[in-house]
Amino acid sequence: MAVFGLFFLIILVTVAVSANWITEFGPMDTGVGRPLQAPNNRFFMGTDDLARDIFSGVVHGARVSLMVGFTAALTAALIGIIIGSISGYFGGITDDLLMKFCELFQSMPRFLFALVIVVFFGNTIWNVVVVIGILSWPRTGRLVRAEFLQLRESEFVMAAKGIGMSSARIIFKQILPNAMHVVLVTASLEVGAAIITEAGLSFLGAGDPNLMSWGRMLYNAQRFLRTAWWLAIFPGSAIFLTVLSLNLIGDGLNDALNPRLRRVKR
Amino acid sequence: MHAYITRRILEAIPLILLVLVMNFIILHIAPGDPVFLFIQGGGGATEEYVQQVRQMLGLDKPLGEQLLVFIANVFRGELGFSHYYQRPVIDIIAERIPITFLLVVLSTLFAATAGIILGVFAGKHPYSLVDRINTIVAVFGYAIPIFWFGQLLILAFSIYLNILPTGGIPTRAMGGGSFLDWIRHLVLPVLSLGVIQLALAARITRANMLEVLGMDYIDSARAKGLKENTVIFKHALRNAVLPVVTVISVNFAFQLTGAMIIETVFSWPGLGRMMFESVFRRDYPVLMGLLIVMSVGVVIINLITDLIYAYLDPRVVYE
Repeated sequence: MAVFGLFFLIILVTVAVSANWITEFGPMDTGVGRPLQAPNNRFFMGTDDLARDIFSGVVHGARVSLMVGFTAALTAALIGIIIGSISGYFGGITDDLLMKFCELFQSMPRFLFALVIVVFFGNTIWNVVVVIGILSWPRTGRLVRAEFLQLRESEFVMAAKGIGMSSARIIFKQILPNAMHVVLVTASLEVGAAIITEAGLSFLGAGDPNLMSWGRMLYNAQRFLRTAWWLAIFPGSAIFLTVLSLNLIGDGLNDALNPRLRRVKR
Repeated sequence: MHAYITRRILEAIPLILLVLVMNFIILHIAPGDPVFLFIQGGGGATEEYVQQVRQMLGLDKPLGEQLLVFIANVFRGELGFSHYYQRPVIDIIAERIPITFLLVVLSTLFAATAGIILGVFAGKHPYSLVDRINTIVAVFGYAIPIFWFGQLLILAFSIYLNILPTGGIPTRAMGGGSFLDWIRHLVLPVLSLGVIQLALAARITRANMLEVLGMDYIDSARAKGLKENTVIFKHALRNAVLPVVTVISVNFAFQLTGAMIIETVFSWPGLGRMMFESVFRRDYPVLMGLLIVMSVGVVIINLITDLIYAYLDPRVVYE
């Protein structure tokens, strides 16, 4: 299953990179045919109310989604690693305070915060990325902390302390490489979550107005559900398959890298 | 038990204050003078009016004092004034809360019930047909954007089969408003909002059933000659479903924001619909008020579920 996920993701990345070559029209080009045409030989995913090519939108939307997904997950992973490792390594009051901070972030209605911040600060794609990244670190943070709590008692860390290695070196050179599997698995799930969040923001009209994204296409589809099903089916399937692939990859990574946490599942 | 309740309530208070500080920070680091966020289309306002609003909101005072005024205002229920609605924000929000809650509560109940039933049977017969269905539900539930799932349900049930309404709530004017009519309007939104929680509840129940069924007390219950159904539903289920309560409560914030998106899909006239329109109109006081009410509400609801959990599970230590 993970192989299927990886396969789909590789195709998607290829499509996103070569978007300009495989589409005849730009995603924002209006009037390329008649409006609201059902899928046919010329526009095989149909056209929307402004006669934009849906296929082009889906292909170019892959760029936006993948960019947002990976950058936001990377941001979240970095914050999570820093806070989680400091919290787990030093323990005590530092740990208590940072975990309270984490709890605060976890008890916030994330999507609503993201929406309000994007509306207040301007709906550019970079604001969307940064906001999702900042709001998604707690899961990574908690897991990294748990790993650090366990590993800091192990012999190789004692040995490193014994030869007088600095805390920073122990954290980043000794313990972190042993906790990276947790980060990788979580990050692959966060990419999918970020893609859905971005789509949700765009669906509510808070996405970047200069880019064609899958969420925005679904927002547009909402008004024409009764007359033009293709406006909703293709972009939605794209989100679903992408997130599905990422989740399958995450599951696969989890099974491969972390036998301790292997689920009861098959 | 009382000590535990008191401690949890005391723990929630700083969390609420911190949440409010976060809201305050957002308001103040947003570009531009915060006073204009409260004056719709600030350009037309007279200098006098701007000063008046600034004073009313305490924006002319030092930052620390502003924070105190902000928190005091929230506790007094003063969340600002919406120029679009020409009403105080708190009133607009309060009247829509029940409509949104109906959706959230019903979808949570649906997801928990269906998820537990699915999980019990999947856990009882691993690798059976039910278990496979369970796996499929989990895989789909995690990957599908709920708003798209909602659109798919509309396409299938409202447009293609034409058996359920595309959205809205029953109105007396249209001759609706009967119980059956409400059910008809609720089915699709509840289903689409519940799908993620359903997947989660089913997976957790299954995993717990597998674990619980391997325990000694189940063997002894069977050895006593109890009927298999009694063993499963009276002995195993009780312990297997407790974690579901926790998961559902942890995800409450998620469910609430999910409801706001689903309302947009189904033209459900609750908080989400209002939020959607306010984003469109850039009605900042309404958005800010909504964020404050929601973030404080989530802390309070998590507190309540924690207390319910402590009541349900005698093993919780009240140290």
